[in-house]
Amino acid sequence: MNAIETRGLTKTYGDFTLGPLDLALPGGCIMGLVGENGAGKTTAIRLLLGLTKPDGGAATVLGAPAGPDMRAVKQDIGVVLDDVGYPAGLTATQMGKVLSAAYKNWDMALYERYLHDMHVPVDKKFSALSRGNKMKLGIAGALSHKAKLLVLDEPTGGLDPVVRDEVVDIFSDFTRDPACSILISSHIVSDLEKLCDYIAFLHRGRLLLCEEKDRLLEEYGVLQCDRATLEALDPRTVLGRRLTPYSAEALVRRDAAPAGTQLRPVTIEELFVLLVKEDLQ
Amino acid sequence: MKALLLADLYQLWTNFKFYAVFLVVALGIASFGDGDNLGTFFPMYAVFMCSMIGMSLLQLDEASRWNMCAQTLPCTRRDQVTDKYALTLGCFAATWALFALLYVLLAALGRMAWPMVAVQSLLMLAVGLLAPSVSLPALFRWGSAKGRVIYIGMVVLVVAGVGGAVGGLINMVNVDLSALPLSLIAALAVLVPVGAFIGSWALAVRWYEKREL
Repeated sequence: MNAIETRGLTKTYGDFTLGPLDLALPGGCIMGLVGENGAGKTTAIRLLLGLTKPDGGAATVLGAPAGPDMRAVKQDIGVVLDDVGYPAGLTATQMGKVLSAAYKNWDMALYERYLHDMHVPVDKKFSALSRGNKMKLGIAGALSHKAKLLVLDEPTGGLDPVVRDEVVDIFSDFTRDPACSILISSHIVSDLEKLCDYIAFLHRGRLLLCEEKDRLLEEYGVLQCDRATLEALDPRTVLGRRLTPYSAEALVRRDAAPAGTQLRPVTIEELFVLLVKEDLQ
Repeated sequence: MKALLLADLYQLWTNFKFYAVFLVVALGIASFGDGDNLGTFFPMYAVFMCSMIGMSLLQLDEASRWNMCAQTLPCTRRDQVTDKYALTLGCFAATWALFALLYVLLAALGRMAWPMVAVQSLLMLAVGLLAPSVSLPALFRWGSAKGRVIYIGMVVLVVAGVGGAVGGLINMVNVDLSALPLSLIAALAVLVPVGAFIGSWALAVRWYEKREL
């Protein structure tokens, strides 16, 4: 069963339209939602959690239709929103009690262990915590009720590189259980590259591509050449380009590259940047 | 909903401790008044303030975005509305009970007439339930910034509209209020605020379920 599935999901706010979004996150996998600020990542997550009504299309989460009646399925979903959103006056200890009243499978010992391991002050009000500590508290809250799906909106934003690495390891551990999946949005692509099985690129509300990460890395390559060689290439094979005064780089599909050319491997970050730049031109 | 209530109780303790102090002061002033004029302003003000606690908590929720986060928990929007109404009702009931008890004590000591106990208690009931009945739906429908302005406008309209309509009706049908049975007036004084509070809850649920956050 797919943990998340969307078909033609759309949402319009003024002059911004998200979608149509067709995504499928298989159970036991991690999908990274990559996009620049304002690309529609948060809107997509809100639609999946039933926080916002779609204008068109449909989505299912853990087999249940996404919408306002997701009460039962939310027992199995752990969520970290981009600004966490816990009440300003509550401490981590109080928040643990609140969450234990909400979730049937709440594990207080696990929650306290996460807080201890991530060095989150337990007696400080949420409003007095740093952005990093707020995020760590949100992550501890999302991980302590034996969720089957984690939905994380920019969870590594504001964390220093060491903590970010620890958090990425925690998320990796979470999906050791084949029943557990993660949807994570971020514009720190290096984190997603380490973590994700699937990558979905969003740009200005449109889904540029959604593919298995390993397949993306296998299918695409970067051709380093001079400008004249780049100009001579069939434009249909060039998916993105980067020009400097002395050289040129082109993102190409390996199977469409001219015979005999040497391609270097592409990183997910490069793939995203080159695709977006090409789209803007 | 237990989780939402617990979060609100913690918020209440953190942010509204001053209210407990004010309540003690208001009870003190009311108990030292004279005759039947036992400081009506302070009891009414205390009841009005406590009836606004739900509204203030809603504003805090919006500021910290807890209203959004709470929807990621296994809770519905109906639960969120019910939580605020339950909390408002709880705070009001506690305040009302304290003043009603004070009035009964004062009447037993001969410092207040028994009919005044009933009048003051009914007035507190009306203020305590009607104020949140108007404010909470506005806040759930339009959010705290717009909702507060709309609430003030609605209060003016409701007071002017209801006052005008009742006055006009009385003149039209030439009703002598003093001729109405006291039991009917008392029943209306209880039923109207209670009905308004229940209706307001249903309206707030309906509006909040439709609202785009």
